[in-house]
Amino acid sequence: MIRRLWHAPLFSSVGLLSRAGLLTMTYIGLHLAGWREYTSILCGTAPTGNLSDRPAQVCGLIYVGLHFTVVFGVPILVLAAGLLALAARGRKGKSRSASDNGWKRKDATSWR
Amino acid sequence: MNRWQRTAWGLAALGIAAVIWLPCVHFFFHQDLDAHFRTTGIPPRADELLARHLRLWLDPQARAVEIQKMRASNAEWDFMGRTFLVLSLANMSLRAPGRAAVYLPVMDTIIAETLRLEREQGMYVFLMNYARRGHFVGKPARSLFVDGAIALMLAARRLVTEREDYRPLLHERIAAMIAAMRQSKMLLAESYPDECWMFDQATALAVLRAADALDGTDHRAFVREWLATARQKLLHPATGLLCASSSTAGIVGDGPEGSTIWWVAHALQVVDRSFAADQYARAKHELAREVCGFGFAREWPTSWQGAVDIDSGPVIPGLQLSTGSSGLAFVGASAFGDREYLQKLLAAVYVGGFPVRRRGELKFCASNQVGDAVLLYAMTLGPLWQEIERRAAQ
Repeated sequence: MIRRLWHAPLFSSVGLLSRAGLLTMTYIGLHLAGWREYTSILCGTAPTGNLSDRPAQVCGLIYVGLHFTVVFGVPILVLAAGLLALAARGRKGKSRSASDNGWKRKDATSWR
Repeated sequence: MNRWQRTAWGLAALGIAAVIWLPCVHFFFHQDLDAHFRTTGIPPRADELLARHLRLWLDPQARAVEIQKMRASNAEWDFMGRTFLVLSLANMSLRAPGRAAVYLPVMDTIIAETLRLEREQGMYVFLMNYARRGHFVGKPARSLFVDGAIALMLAARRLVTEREDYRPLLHERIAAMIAAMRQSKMLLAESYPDECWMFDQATALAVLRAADALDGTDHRAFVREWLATARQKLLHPATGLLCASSSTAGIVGDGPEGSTIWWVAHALQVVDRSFAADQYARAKHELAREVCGFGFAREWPTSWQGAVDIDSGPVIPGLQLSTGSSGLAFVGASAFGDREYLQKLLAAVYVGGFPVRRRGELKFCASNQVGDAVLLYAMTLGPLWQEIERRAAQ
């Protein structure tokens, strides 16, 4: 199942939803790990009080990047997945009705 | 459907989704404005912000950690954090007189601790390191940044409840500030060697008005003279905004800056109300911006190119969003009752300030103690300035 999700094409409903889920889960994980505290880099304050503590600064940057991706990007992925699903349903309906019409035409011809 | 068609459909769906989502995001970060800013009583969020500050002042270990974090970047922040906290406590004491008994000892502790540090280590303890590398033009060497803020803390404390031993301390500072300002033809006192920051000049003028209100002195002629000189020499021609810094000779160093002008406009409210309102309106026009319902502030107007520094904080390219200017924009917007801008700034601070509410305390992780103290001050300001005007009118 996870493998199927992971290998789903990016521009498909499942592909977009799986990326959205992955980003959200990662964000929740970092949040629970307390990385929010590292975001003080945004005001120029070293999270640990040590200006040369690069790992803490990288943690802050990753958390900030992921936060804005989740807030601004993930809902777009979810909405786009919904739109793609609707479009696919529309196409399926269209092709079904086309084949139905084809059957009716054929049927009518044969009847005639 | 082939790969190209799938990609085209996917990109189109993402585009449509973005057009739907981006204008709506701010609704999810919309805050109850009255819980943060109100003209009477204490807003609940201010109470929560204060709870953390009080804990820090009651717990020396936690305070040391917090202060060390700030001092590693900028010693000024430690000092400004104290100033804004004392000013907030004064406003909160005037908003809720029943709480003054709790807040006054905290104010006194902060003031005493600040005076002790200055006495033991000199003014440089609250200045950035480069202050030691130059020579102050004025003699004796004093920093208006330190004198002005300490005087304002003393005056704020006395405006809540008189404390006689603070009276001579306040007047010593005022005498020193005026002496320093009088040494310059432009009436500008130094904050750093041959650097006169408008932030500190405006603070000094507000202190003079507070002293007049408290003790019946009269500095109106000096204030008028200062304003006339500043209007003539220190306004940025393209914007009409006061420049952020200049030399004692009046040579402009930094043009208009958001991290300065929001506070300056507020401080000038007790000095010259119409000039203050004019400065706020110009600052709003030049610096306030909004994207998708989120408000923020630029550090510089489009007509001035400055360099990112410790005052501006990180600046996001493209948007020109400055964290320093955006934080202080709360003070300007609150002082001038600009609730529409406050609402948008609040949405922005809740999306990008990384708030944490825990055990009745609120803090913004993307900020630090001084940032939160500025926000607390913005939430509570008003009564102190009203008290100055009330007493001055008597």
